Amino acid sequence: MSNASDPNLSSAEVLAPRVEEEEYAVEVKDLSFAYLGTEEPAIVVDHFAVKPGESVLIVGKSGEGKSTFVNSINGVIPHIFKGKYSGTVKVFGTVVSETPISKLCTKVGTLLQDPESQILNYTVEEEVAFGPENLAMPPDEIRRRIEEAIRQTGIEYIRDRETYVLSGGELQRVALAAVLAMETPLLILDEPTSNIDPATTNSIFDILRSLKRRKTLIIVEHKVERVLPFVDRIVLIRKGRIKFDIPKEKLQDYIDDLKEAGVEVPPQFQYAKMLGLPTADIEVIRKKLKEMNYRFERPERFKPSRIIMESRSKVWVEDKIRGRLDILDVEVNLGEGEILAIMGQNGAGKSTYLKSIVGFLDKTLLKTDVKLVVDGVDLSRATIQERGRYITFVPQTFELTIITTSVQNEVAYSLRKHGVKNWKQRLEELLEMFSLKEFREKDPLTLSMGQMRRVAMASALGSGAKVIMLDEPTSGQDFYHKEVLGNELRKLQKLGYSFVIVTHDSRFVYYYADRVVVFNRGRKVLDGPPEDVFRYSEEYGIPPPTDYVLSE
Amino acid sequence: MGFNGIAGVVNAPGQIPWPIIAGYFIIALLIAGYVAKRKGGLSSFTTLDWVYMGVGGAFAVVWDFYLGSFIGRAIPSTPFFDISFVGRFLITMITVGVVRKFGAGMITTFIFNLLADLFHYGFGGEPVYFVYEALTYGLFFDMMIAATGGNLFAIEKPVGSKTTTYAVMLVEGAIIGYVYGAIPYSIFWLGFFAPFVYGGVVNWARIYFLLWAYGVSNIPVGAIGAWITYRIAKAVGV
Amino acid sequence: MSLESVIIDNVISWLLLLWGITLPIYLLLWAIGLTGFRQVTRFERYDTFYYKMNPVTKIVLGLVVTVIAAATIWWIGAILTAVLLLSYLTLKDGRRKFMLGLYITIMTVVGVTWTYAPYTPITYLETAGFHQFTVIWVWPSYFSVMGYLPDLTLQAVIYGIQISMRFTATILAALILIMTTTPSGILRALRKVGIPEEIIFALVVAMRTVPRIFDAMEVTVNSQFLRGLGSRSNKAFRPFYLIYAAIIATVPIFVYLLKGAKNTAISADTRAFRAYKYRTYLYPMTFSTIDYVTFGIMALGLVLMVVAILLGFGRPIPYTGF
Repeated sequence: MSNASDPNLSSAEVLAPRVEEEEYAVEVKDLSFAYLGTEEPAIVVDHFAVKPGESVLIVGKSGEGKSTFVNSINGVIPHIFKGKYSGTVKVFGTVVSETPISKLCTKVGTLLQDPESQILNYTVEEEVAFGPENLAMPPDEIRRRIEEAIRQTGIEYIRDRETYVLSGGELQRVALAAVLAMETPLLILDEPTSNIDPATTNSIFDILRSLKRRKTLIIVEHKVERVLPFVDRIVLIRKGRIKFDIPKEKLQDYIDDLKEAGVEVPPQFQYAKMLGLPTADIEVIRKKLKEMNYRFERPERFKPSRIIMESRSKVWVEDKIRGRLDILDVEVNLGEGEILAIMGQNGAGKSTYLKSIVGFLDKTLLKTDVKLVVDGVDLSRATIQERGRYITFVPQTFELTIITTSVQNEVAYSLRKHGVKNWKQRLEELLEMFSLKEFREKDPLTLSMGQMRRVAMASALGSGAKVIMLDEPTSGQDFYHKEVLGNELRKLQKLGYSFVIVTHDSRFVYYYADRVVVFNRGRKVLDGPPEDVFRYSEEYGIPPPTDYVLSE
Repeated sequence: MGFNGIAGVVNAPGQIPWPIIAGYFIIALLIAGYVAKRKGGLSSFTTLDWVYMGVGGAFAVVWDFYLGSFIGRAIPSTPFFDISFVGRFLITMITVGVVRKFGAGMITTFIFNLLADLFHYGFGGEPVYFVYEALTYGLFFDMMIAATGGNLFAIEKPVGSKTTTYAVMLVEGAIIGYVYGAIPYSIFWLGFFAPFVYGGVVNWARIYFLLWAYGVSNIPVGAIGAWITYRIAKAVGV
Repeated sequence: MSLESVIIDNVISWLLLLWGITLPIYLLLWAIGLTGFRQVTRFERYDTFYYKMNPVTKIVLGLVVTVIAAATIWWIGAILTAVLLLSYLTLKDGRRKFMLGLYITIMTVVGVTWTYAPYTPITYLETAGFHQFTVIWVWPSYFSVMGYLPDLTLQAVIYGIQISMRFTATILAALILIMTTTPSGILRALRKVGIPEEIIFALVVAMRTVPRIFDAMEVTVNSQFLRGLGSRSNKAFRPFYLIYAAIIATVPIFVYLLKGAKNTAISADTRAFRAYKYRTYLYPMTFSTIDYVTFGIMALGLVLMVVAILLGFGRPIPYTGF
């Protein structure tokens, strides 16, 4: 992608003495950036360079500087996020700090994590055309670009739709198409699959794989194992510094650093290291482990002694022309003290099930027939408030449930509204249980996401409910925070709480769930302990975790 | 003879003399134009500012056509408390509070009006209303931003101790509440534009009454609004 | 006057004051159903002439109708209203749209009349050509503090209805744009008529955000109920709790969306938003025969307006006849 190959440039520009610099797609020298109002730099990089056509994976714990780093490459820093900035970042020879983003964006495209907030147009076609239109391209060129981007991302079938009716996975592919339509030689992908289901994750990774070598890729991603096959290098960011920058072949030598940094290490690498094997090929390792009759430490599964929740949920719509269209028809029981995971593709009915149980579904749009008995109490016809005494629900966007001005008021909310006796004592217990005492006076909306999640959870438990439903609590979380969540659930399980968790994370399910059910097109298709279910789950778009594959 | 919805009555009994009104708008336009030129016009607002104003606009739509109309069924609109007016006021306040640049008030008001038309009313020749609202409701916010040097409701930086900061924030909110609630509708609309545009009657008893009723009831609303704005701005980190 | 009748008078007066404008509207809303009303003002695909017209033409139509209604005598406004209302029959689901138009017209007439009637003095009505007055309601004397005149006359009500004819045609013409144009089409037209790109961008963001607010509202409101809001009160008060919960929901939803705004800004800026002073479009706007014909009709309308004014039917309100 160097200018020397561009026939449109004049000979003077080709001969200009910048050829050496333009060897790199990205070059960072002595970068330091501290956000406004903070002293400590969020990122410090002495030297970092990426050659054209290279693919680089950036890993690290949330909040340790990964996004700050990539944002200083695409120009978001220092052009949108202001602060104390020094050093030089160049993208294909262009100095980032001296070039407005509107010009930089012809060299570097950026795909972010949350599809909802990065889509900004009314229809899919307009969204994809937005960039080329802004670049004032002639209509024929815009058309060529959007056709190409739509084809690459496989969104032909939704091109005329309004963006607000699309699923998260579809939105993310539209967002990727919109970025591809910019036809930039460098692509930055900041956790592109964090908020989407396995099928879309696969399709996004397939698209990225097809772009390898044709574009320079910088990918920030927690799913190390999935990205590894098509990257050349791995960079670990730790506390705002590059801890290592290695070719992927050397990963095995650095797995302790990754573990220590709270990054997911694909298990095959751990076993390969343990066995002293030069390869991380799953089949080779599996064979070797089998040969040596290796005793795997299988996660313990709790066996409940009684059923605490029996549920049957039917949801359908009445269509004037097509008649009744079933959306969901499932029966799910939950044991006391059990952690039950619900898995399935987008649209399988997982969230609809949770919402039907807690009574959140919009009855003007959907018809429901729910049978629900919790702890011997029939709640089939109960209001949301009455259900709240027995079941509680923490949505994926838990920050939306926070409505008061201090942590203690938020945690006390449910206790007081439900008229729980000794609520002050219960409040103290909950604050203690979720390590919230030190923030009790603070405005919960100013806390970090992790702290906010704990507040939401503590507040949900205040009602006295013993059954807790969590919608995609692992979504967008890094390895470290998923471990924290898993351990929290185990702790609460010991206190007698039972959980229903909707998640896409097979590994999390393998390690922390006692039982898993799989939904497919509104029906329950599998139900059992994770090791049994993962034997067949691939058929329903749920890849079994590598830990499990190796142990089988 | 009228044009574009304006009948042009300038001598109705009791009507505020048109030179006063014209003077206000000419001065307001000059100020707006001068400041805009000095700060670079629309380009002084970052893309993020425009997104903030868009999000605020979405809330205004939800309020105007869904929530507000629903709530309005239960709570009548009175000179003392008009729920749809209060909602629009608070949403404007929050939006202007996170942007905090001169012009934010006028542009936000303009965008909210445009959206209301886009979603519901259609464009029926309102250029005059747009300008009138932007240069009264909107400009009042902008004057407050200018008066506080951009530190509206002490969001940017504290003003002395914590108590002083809160006091300043509440007083600023109260002032803007009174001005926003009382002046544009009573003075400008009833005192001039209603007869000017529709040939309506100027009724000074009503104007005096509303100056008092709308104004006083919007003082606490403004103060609470300032506090809510402050809280949201801190939570978002702007 | 007996105490009883004084009390009744006061109660009715206050009811009229508080709900005077709104009550008839509520009753009408009730009759048509608020949801249905919302849906019919949305764009739906169809292929009659309004749908084929360039949105710019429809915006101009709105302006021309406004000008004619404003510059001529009230019954010309009424005729325009009737013509536009009848044209609603050509829209998709025409009869329902016609009913909607009729409903909006009635609502506007009621609303505007009520805004003017109690405040318009006899002297003013006299210059508007009224000479005989029929009192239909006497307000309590202290209502004058709020600017109410002592009596409400039938003539003041008629005068209010005449004024409302300036609004009805305009609103009906304006709604045609909303019902027959995609939101994207409207935005393209707004660009064409000179609204700056940044403001269009804010509008686009707003339109995209409205459905997100509803999704967020569902989560926040229901979570409050699940955590016990209103669980210890009488079921009759539940609607009030719904309102309360929705108002409370505003702050977390604002924070949630404003936090996400940074991503939206990055997403726009990294796709060359405002890179140049101008931009191009995938679908440039074109005018067709229908547009030219409509422009012709509008020109004719303006000519007729001038003729009407020359013939003495072009007075601004009040219609004093000189």
